[in-house]
Amino acid sequence: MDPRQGRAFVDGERTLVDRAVFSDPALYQQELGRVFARSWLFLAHETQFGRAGDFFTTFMGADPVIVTRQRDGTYRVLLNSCRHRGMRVCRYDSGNAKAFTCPYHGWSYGTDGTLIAVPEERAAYGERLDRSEWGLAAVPRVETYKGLVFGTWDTEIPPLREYLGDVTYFLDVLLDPDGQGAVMVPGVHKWRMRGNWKLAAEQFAGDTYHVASTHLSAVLAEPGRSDEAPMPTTGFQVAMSGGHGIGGLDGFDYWRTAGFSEEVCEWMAGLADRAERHLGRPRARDAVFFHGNVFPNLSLLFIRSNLRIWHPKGPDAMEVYSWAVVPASAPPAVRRALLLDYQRHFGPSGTWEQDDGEQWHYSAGSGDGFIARGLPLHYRMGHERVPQASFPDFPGSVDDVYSEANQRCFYERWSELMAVPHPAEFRDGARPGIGTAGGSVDAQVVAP
Amino acid sequence: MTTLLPEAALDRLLLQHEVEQFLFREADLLDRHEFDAWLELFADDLRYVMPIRLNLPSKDGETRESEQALALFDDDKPFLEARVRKLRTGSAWAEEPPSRTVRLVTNVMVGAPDPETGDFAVTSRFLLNRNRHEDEEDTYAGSRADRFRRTSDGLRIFERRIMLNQSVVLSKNLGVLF
Repeated sequence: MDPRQGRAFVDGERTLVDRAVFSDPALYQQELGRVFARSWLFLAHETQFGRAGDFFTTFMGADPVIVTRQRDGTYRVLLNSCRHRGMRVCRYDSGNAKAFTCPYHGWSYGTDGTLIAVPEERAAYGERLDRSEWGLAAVPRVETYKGLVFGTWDTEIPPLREYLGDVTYFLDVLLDPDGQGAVMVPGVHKWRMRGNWKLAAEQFAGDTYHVASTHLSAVLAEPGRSDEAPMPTTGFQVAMSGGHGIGGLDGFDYWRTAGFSEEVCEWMAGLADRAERHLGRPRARDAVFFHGNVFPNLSLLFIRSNLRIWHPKGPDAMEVYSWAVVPASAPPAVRRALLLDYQRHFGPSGTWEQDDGEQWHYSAGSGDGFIARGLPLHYRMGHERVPQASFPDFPGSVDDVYSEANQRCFYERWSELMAVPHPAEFRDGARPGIGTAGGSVDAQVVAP
Repeated sequence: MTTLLPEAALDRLLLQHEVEQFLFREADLLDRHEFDAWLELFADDLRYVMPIRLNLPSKDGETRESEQALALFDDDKPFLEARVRKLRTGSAWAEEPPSRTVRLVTNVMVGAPDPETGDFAVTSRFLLNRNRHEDEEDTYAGSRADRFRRTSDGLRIFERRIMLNQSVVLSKNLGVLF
C-alpha cells in the first residue's frame, strides 16, 4: 500500500488517528483531489440571491469559485480564474453582474461562464481563438436541498439528496422547521485560523464532550445565566453513512435558558408547536439538536442558528465562512434575537467561538515534533460500549452524548476517499498537467 | 502681552484636550487589563458595533450595515460586561494566558456639541498590536466613531462604531476589545 494513502493514517479498528492527517503537506495536496473534488460541497443559500446576475464568491476546497444565479433561476458555479493568465475575474464578495471581465487583459465572460469578448481579438489572435473552448471552467453538477446550494466537480458520485442521506432528517429542523423554510441573515462572518480544517469539522460532527472545558468561561459569564434550568447532560450522537454526524441533548426549553425576551420565547414556543406538526416527533419537540457536520466541511449549530463552512488554506490553516440562518416565518424582532444569539456566542468575537480557535491553533502543530509524530491520537470514546442513548430510532447509528462514534465515522469516510487516487493524479506524474482538470470541464461550459 | 483666544475657541481646545486624554486613558486601561474601570467609561444605554467590511464595487460603499445583518460586534453594555466576566474566569482560553497589547489612538477629531443636548461626536484612528504566547502577532488597524455625553460623573461614550480594516478577519478571534 502506498504509505501516503489515507487508510494508513486511520487504524483498522478506527480508534486511532495519525497526527499527520492534520499537518502533512502531501496528504493535504491529495485531500484536495480525493476528498474535496469528490464530494458535494456547500456553496451558498438561495436567499443570498434575488435576481439573475446576482453572484457570491467562495471556495470549493482551495479553488475560488463564483456562484451566479441564471435567468432561469438555476445556479451556475464558475472557477474564478481567467483562462488566459489565471487572474481572478471577480474580486467582489457579492453583487450583481452582467459579465465577469478580467481586469488583466479584459477577457470577458458571461455569467454562465461563456467567453463572450476578447479585446483586439482579430489583431491579437486572427481567426485562431476558438472562444467556445476557453470559457471559465464550470462546476458540472449544482444541486440544492431546502435552500442550500451545493456543487461537485465529480460526475460519478450520487445525486445530492442521496449523498446527504439520513442527515436530511436532522437538517430539516434548521432549514425548514415549519414548512416555510429558512433564510440567511444578510452578511457573512469570515475569519482565518491556524489549524487543519478537519480539527473543526470533526468537532462539529461529534464533540459535545469539549463544551465543559473549552467553553466553561463563556457559560459562567453569560448574562441572565440561571442555575435553575441547567442544560441536560444526557443526549446523543448520530453517525451516518457518508461520514455525517449530528449531536444533541435530551429535550429542554433552550429558549427560556438563553435569556430571550418574553416576546421571543412566546414566538419560539409557537414555532415548536408548528414544527411538531410539520416535522413530527421525536426530531421536533423531544430532542434539542446542538451541533453537526455534513461531510466534508459544512457544519451547523442548531440552537445557535448557525451554518458555516471550513475552507482549507493549507495543511495547518483554515478560513471560515459563517452565517446566521433563521426561520423564514420569524418576525424582525425574533430574527434580530436569533442573529444576536449566534453572533455574540459564535463568529470571530463570539464568547464560545474564541476558545475553539485557541484549541485548534495549539492542536495544529502537534505532529511537528519527531517523538510526538509517532504517537497516534485517541478516538476510542464510546467504542465497545452498549449505547444508552435516548433516541435509538433516529436514522443513522445512535450513540451516547459522550462518544466519538461520529468522529470515527468521519475518518472512516475520509480514509475511504483517501485510499483511491483522483484520476488527475495519474497525469504527468503526481501533478495535474495540461488539459487535465480544465480539459475535462471544457465540455461542460461551452453550451450556452 | 498676552493674546486671548475667543472664548468659544478656547472651549473647543479644552474639549479636544479632554477627549484626547479620555481616549488615551481608555487605551491605557485596556492595555493594563483594568476592565472594570474601562466599562465605567460607557453609558448604560451603550451600543457597541463593529460592522463587517466588504469588497464591493467602489460605487457601492464598503458595508451593508443593518440591525438585521451580521456584524463583528453588536453589543449592549450588559454583554460587554459579560465579555469582561469571561476574561476574569481564568479559563477564557483565547486570552489565557493574556495577550500583550499596545493600543495607539490618534487623528482625534471632535465635533461640535449639539446645542440642545450637549452630545458630541468624536472620530479617531487606532492601531492595536497584540502579541500572545511565543510567536502570535496580530495587528488591527481601523477607525472609531464615538458619541459622547457629559454626565454628572464625567464624559461617557453611549455609541461606538468600530471600522476594522479587514474584510476577512486575519486572526483566529476578536478576543480583545476595541
